[in-house]
Amino acid sequence: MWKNFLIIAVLALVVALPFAFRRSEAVVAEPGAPTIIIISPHNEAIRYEFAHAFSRWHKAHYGTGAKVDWRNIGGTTEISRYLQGEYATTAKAWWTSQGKRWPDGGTDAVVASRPPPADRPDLIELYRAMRQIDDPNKVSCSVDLFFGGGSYDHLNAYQRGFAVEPWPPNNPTPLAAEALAMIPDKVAGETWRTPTMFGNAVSTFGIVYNIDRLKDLEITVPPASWDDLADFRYFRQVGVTDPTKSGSIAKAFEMLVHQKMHDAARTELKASGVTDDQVDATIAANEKAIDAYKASKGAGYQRGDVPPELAAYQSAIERGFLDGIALVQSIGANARYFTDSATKVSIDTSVGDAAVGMTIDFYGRFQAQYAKGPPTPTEPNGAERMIFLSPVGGTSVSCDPITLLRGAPNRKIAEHFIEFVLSSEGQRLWTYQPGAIDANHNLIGPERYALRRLPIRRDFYPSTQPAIEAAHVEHKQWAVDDLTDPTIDPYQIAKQFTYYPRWTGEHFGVLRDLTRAMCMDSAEELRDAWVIAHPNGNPDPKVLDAMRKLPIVMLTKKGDSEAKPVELNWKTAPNFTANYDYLEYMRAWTSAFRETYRKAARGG
Amino acid sequence: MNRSTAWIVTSIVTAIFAVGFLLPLFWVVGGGFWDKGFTLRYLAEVFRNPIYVEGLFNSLKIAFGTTALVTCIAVPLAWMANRFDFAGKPLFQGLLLVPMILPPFVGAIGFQQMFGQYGAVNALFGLGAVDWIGNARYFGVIVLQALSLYPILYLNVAAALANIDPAMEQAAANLGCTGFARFRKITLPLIMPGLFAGGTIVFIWSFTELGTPLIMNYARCTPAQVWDSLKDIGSSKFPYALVFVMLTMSIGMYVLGKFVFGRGAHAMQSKAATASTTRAARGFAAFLVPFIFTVVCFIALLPHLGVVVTSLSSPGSWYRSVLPEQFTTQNYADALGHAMTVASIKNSLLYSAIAVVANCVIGIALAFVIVRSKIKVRGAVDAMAMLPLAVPGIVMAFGYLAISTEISNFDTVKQSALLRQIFDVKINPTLFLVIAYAIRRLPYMVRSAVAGLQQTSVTLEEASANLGASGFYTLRRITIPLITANLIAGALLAFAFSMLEVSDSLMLAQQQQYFPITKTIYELFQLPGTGKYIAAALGVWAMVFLAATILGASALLGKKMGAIFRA
Repeated sequence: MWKNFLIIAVLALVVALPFAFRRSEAVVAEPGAPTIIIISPHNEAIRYEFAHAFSRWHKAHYGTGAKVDWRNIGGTTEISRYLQGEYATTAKAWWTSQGKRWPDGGTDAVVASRPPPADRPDLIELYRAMRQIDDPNKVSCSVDLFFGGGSYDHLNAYQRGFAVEPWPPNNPTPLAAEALAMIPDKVAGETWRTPTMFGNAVSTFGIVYNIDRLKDLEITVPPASWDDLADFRYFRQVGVTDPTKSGSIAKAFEMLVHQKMHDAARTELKASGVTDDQVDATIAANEKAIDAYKASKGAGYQRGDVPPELAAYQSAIERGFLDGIALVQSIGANARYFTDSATKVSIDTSVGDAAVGMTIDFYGRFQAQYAKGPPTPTEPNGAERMIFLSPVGGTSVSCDPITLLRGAPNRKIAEHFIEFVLSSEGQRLWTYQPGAIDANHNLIGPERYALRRLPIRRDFYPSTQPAIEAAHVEHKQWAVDDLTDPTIDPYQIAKQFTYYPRWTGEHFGVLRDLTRAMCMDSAEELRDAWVIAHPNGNPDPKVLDAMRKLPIVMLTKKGDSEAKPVELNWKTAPNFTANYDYLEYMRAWTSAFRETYRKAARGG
Repeated sequence: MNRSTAWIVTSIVTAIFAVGFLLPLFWVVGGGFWDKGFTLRYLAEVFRNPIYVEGLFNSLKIAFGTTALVTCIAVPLAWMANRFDFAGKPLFQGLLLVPMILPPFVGAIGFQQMFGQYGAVNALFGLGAVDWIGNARYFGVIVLQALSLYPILYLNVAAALANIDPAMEQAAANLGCTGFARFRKITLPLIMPGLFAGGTIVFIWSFTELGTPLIMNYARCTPAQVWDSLKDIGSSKFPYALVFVMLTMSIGMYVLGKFVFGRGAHAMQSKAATASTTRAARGFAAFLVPFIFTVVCFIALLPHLGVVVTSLSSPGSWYRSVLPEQFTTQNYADALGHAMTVASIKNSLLYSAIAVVANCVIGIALAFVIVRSKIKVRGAVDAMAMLPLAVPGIVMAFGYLAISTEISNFDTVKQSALLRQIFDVKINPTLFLVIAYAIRRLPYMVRSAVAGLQQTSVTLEEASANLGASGFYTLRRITIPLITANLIAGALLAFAFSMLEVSDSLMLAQQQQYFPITKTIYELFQLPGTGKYIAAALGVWAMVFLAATILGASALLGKKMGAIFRA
C-alpha cells in the first residue's frame, strides 16, 4: 500500500516539477491583434525576440500590437519540401475547381524551377497561371513569410514560383526604402537582395580549432587558411559541414576553389613580370578583356575561349580550378565526417572531439564563448579552449533572407514584418546585448537572448560616410561583438575577396556533386589512399598525383543513344548538370574515384 | 477464431492500416516509380550503383551482428532473472530497461561526453585522447546498438520464460536431460515465440537504425544513405526507391526469419506455477549473477549517465575530466521553466496515451487473426504489421503532411472550423500525430500479443466456449488475463517509444502549443552555447518520467518488475 503510494507520489512529483518551475511569459500582443504566419528554421531564441520586438514596433508604427504564429517543421530542406507539397496540392484543387483537367505531370510542373518543355502547352498554361495568381483563397501554402535559411533556398523558392514582391521594386514603402538604401544587392558574388528576397543578417564561414587538441597533435602553428586543413596531421580530425545539404556551405566550398584559382592566376602573372601590387588590377583587366571577347563572339563563344594573348592566363585559371578541387579532396580526406547539423562542428571542436573544423561564424563565436574553462585567479574569464577565425584570403559572406510567399493570407502585416526586420530596430536584435535600454529606459535590443548574429545594414559598420559612421558609433556601444573589428565586419571581409562569376559561377552545382562523389561517397577508399600517400606522415607526390587524377567516364548525353567518354575539367564541369543524367554521372564518378583511390593506395 | 470473424477483423484492421500507413507511405514512396509514366529506373539504380549495394550489405552485417550480440546479452540475463533471486534483483530488472529510453539529440551528446577524445572514459583511465568514436567503425555500431536494443529482446524472452510450465523442464530433468541440453531441447523451443518476437524487432530496427551510424560516423549503410538522399527529394525521386528497397528487404528478412525460426511454436496447456521455478542464487552464483547484471547495466547506461551529468554541468566545465569541474541546477530551471515545456509534456502524454490505447486494440485484434485464425492471408497480415518498423519516420511524416493538405482542401473541410481542427495539421496536428505514433509503434504490440497467444493453448479458450461463454467474455476473462504480461511489455515499449518519437513530431507539430516533448528538446538543443545543457536537463526529465512509469506500472500491478511477465 505504502509502496504504491510512494510510486504515485514519485510520478506526481516528476510531472509536477515543470509546473512548479514554469515561468510566466510576457504577453506578446493584446487580444485581437493581427497575426502573421511565418515558417522558419530559426531557433527559439530568434523567434522569441523577433515576435516580442515586432509587436512593440508594430504598435509604435501602426497603432496595434501584432502576433507571430511560427511554423517550425525543421530545417530548410523540410521547409522546401513542405512548400512544394502545399502549393502543388492547393494549385490542383484550384485548377480542377474551375472544371479544368489536371494534366499528367501537373504536380511537378507547378513547383518546377524551369518552364515545362515547349511540346507540353497544357503544362505551360498551368505553370504560367501558377505564377500569375496571388490569392490566399486560391493557391496558398497558408503561410505569409519564409524567414531564415540561406539565399540559395530563397532563390530556389523564387524559381519555383513561391515568392512574390511585397512592393514594386522601384516603389517600396517609405520605411522599406529607408532600409533598402542600407543594403546592397550583391557583395563579393553573393546576392543579398532581390525584388522578392531580402537579406537581413549575414554570416561568414571560418575555421574553429581546439587549442588543446592542437597541442596533442604537436601542431605549434594554428591553422589560418583553408589550405592548412589539408595538413595530414589533421587526419580524421577535421569537422566538415556537408555542402550538399546547404546552399551557404556549398557557397563556402565554391569560394575555396575560387581562392585557389586566384592564387594560380597570381602565380602566373607574377611569373610573367607583374608586380604584387598590380596583380589584382591585372586580373580585373584580363577578365574585362575576356568579357569583351565573349561578347564579340556571340553565340559562337565556347567556355574557355580567350584572346590569344591571354591563353597562359586562362590556363592558370583552369589549373587553379584543379588545385581547388585537390584542396577539397584533401580536406575531405582529413574529414572526420560531413555533417548536416549546423551546430555539430563547433560543439565537437569545443569538447575536443574534432581538432579543427569549418563552421559558420556565429556558431563558432558562441561556442568559443561557452567552451571557456571555469574562471581561475590567473584567468578570471576562463581559459580559452576554442578559437574561431576568418581564414586568410577571405571567405564568402552569405545572407539570411526573408521572402513573402505567394498567396499570403495576412499580406499587409507580413509586409510590415519585412519592414521591421530591415529597420534599425529589427537589425539591433541580431547584435545588441540583451536588456539594452536607451536614456528613456526603452528596450532597444533583445529582451532575453544575445543572438550574436551580424546585421546586414551598412550603417552598423564603420564607414567613411559621416551619417553611416555616426549610426555605427551609436550601435557599436550596444553590440555584443566588436563591429569595428575587420575580422567581424562583413563589408571588410567581403573586400578581401573579389568574385569573378566567370570562374566558378556556372560550377556551383557541379562542385556540390563532385564533393559528394569524390569525398563523401568514396570516403573509405579516399582515406585509405590518403594514409598510403603519407608514409611516416610525409606526402608521397607519386601517390598524391595518382589520387588527384580526375575521372574520364562514359556517359550518354541527354537525347543521344550512345555513351562517350567525358573528361572532367574546368571547361566541361558545368556541362554535367546540364547535359547528363544526375544518377548516371554520380554513379560513374563515384565508381571512378573509388577505383582511382584503390589504385593510388596500391602505389599509384 | 472462426473464419467469418477473422475476415471481419482482418478487413477492419487492414482498412485502418491501409489508411494510416499504406496510403501515406505509397503517397510518398510511389513517386520512386513514376517519371512521366511507370518506371523502374530508380529502383534499378539502387542495384547498379555499388555504393548502395555495399550500403545494403553493411546494413545486413549490422543487423546480423547486432541481433547476435543482443541475443548473447538478453537471453542469459532473462534466463538468470527467471531462475534466480539475488541481491538487488528488482532494481536491476528496472535498470535493464532504461537503455531503451535514451532521449533524442542529447543522447549523442551524452555518448560523446563519455567516449569522446576528451571524454570521461579516457580521463578516468588516463588513456590520452583515444579516438573511440573515430576508430570503432562497424564494431562500434553493433555494440552501441546492442546496448540500446537488448531490453526489447529481454522483455520478450523474460515474458516467454515466465510462460513456460516448469513441469516441462522438470519432466525433462526426470528423464535425464539436464543442464545446457535441457535448455537447448526444452527451454529454447518453448521460448522461441518470444525470442522470435524480440529478435525480429531488433533485427529490423538495427537494419534501419539511423542514429547510431550517424553518431559513429559510419556513413556507408542504407539508413545513412537514405537520410543523405532524402535531402534531395525535392529534385530527385531516387530516395523513394531506396526507401522501397530497405522496406522490401526488411520484410524479406522477416519472412525468411519466420520461415526458419518462427515455425512450430509450442503452446502450454497450463500457465507456469512461478514460485517453483525461482530459487535463491547461492555460492559463486550469488556473486556472479548480480555482477553480470551490474556490468551490463553500467555499460549500457553510460550514455544516460553522460546526459545526466551534462545536465548538471556548467557550460564548458566538463572537459578532459571524469566529472565536471562545476555543477549547476540552472539548466533544470531553464529547461523546466521554459514556456514550451509544460505544454509539450501534456501534449506528449496525450498523444502517446491515445496511441497506446489504439495500439492495444489493433494489436490484440491482429494477434488473434495471426495466431488463432486459419485464414490464408494471416501470414501476409503478420508481415504487414511489421512494415512500420522499416520505414524512416521522415518519409511517413511527409506522407501524413501531404494527406492532411489534400483533405484540408476539400470544400467541406475548408468551410468547417471543426473539420479543419481535426484534419489540418497546420491548425491542429493531434489526429495525425496520434495516428503516426500508433502505427509506427504497432509492431511492438503485435509481436508481444502474438508471442503471448502462441504460448497460450487455445484449449483454454475452447473450454470457456464449451461452458457457454461468449467470444467477448472469453477474451475478457480468459485470454487477456493469460497474456497480460505480453501486453504490458508491448504497451510499455509502445508508450516509451511514442514519447521519444522524433521525425513525425518535428514535422507535424508546427505550432508551439502542439509541440510534443521531443520537439521541445530539439528546440532547446538548437539554442547556441547553452542549448545542449538545457536540452540535456529536459532529456533527463523525460528519462526519469519514463523510468518511473515503467517501474510504477509494475509496482502498481502489485508485483515486482520481473514478475509482471508471469501473469
